[in-house]
Amino acid sequence: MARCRAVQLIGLYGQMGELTDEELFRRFAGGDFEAFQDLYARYRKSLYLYLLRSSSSATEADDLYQEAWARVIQSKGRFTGGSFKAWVFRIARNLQIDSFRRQRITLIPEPDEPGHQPDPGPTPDDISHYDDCRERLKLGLQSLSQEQREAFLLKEESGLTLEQIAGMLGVGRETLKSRIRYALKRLRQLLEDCV
Amino acid sequence: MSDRQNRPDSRKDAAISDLYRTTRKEEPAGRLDAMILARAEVATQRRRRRWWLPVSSAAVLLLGVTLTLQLMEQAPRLPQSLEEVEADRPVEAEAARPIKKKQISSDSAPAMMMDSLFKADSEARGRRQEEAPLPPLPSREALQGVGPKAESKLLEAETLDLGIAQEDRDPAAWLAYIQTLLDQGDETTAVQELEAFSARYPEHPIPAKLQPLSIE
Repeated sequence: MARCRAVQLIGLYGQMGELTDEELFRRFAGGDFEAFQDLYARYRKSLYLYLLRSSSSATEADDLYQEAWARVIQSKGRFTGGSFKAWVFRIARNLQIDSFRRQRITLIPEPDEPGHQPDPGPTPDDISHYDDCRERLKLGLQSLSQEQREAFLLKEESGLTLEQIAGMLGVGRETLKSRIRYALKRLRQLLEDCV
Repeated sequence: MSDRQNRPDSRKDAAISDLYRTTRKEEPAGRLDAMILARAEVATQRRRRRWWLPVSSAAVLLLGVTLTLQLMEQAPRLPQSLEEVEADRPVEAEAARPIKKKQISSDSAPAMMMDSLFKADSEARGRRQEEAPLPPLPSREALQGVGPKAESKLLEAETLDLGIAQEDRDPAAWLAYIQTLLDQGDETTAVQELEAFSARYPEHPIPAKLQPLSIE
């Protein structure tokens, strides 16, 4: 029932497709629910995947995802401008960092340290090589340092420019590029027979 | 050498990005969508309600202020003029109860005017109690439910009672005042007033209820 309603609401996406994120959010802040639906449909998947890939579990990702949108809704009067996309991903990232701190999880294994290699788990014989590569990629992301992972995921999921991501992370553009480079290097090693 | 080494790396990086995109299959659960959208909907409804609240409050306030101003425009005239009349009137003359008429639109007099009248009358009555006892005015309770016509008559009577010149009195209001006196049992004053009325308006017909007084 709830899912049907959600799908129905999300189906409205496209009615205001030509409006910018910021305009939609301004309308939502003025009481326009449909504007929020449109905005939600735009970032629903990318925000969720960002949180899912950078979280330790799907449950945690669900919680963070819900909390991120709750903050967006609550903070509608405090959004003063700039890029909505950068703002919403910054909220998600801050929640992610808080979550790490709460759990006191160290997710920054030394890349070359064999003891911190993630357990790839059993690979069923019947799954295809391609599926195997995808699973290994997901696990490979978990093996990256937090900084490298968030740099890679923000580049892939947020659609922000390198300058915007660097500004969000509070680092220089070259530092960001370096983190992405290291992340890709690590993934290349893990997926040597896939790419 | 470096370029040659970087080129395959770039291709591999692009392949990793492509591979990553193929993993983008997960979506938030329907219950999550529903919860988030419901929360947003509630927030927008609150926002709409918040928008209406100050507007409706302002409208009510504006209406209240307008009504109050309208009432104040009408009501203060009488008490103010009565004070002036009271201040100007000498004590001796007051004892003889000279009356100076002030034009009143009694039909449109609202409740606020009634309050002012009662107040002014109470004050005047207090000052004159020892000099010339007046017949008591009908109580407010007695007026409850008798309708605007009776209130109008009372107003006229009160206006006369509070000092309006005889020569300026409206005959109908004067007769109403005499009738009020009679109703309240102050027959002596009623007779005096009727005599004065007959002297001022000899041609004016006397109501049947008051005719016995004129015979006396």
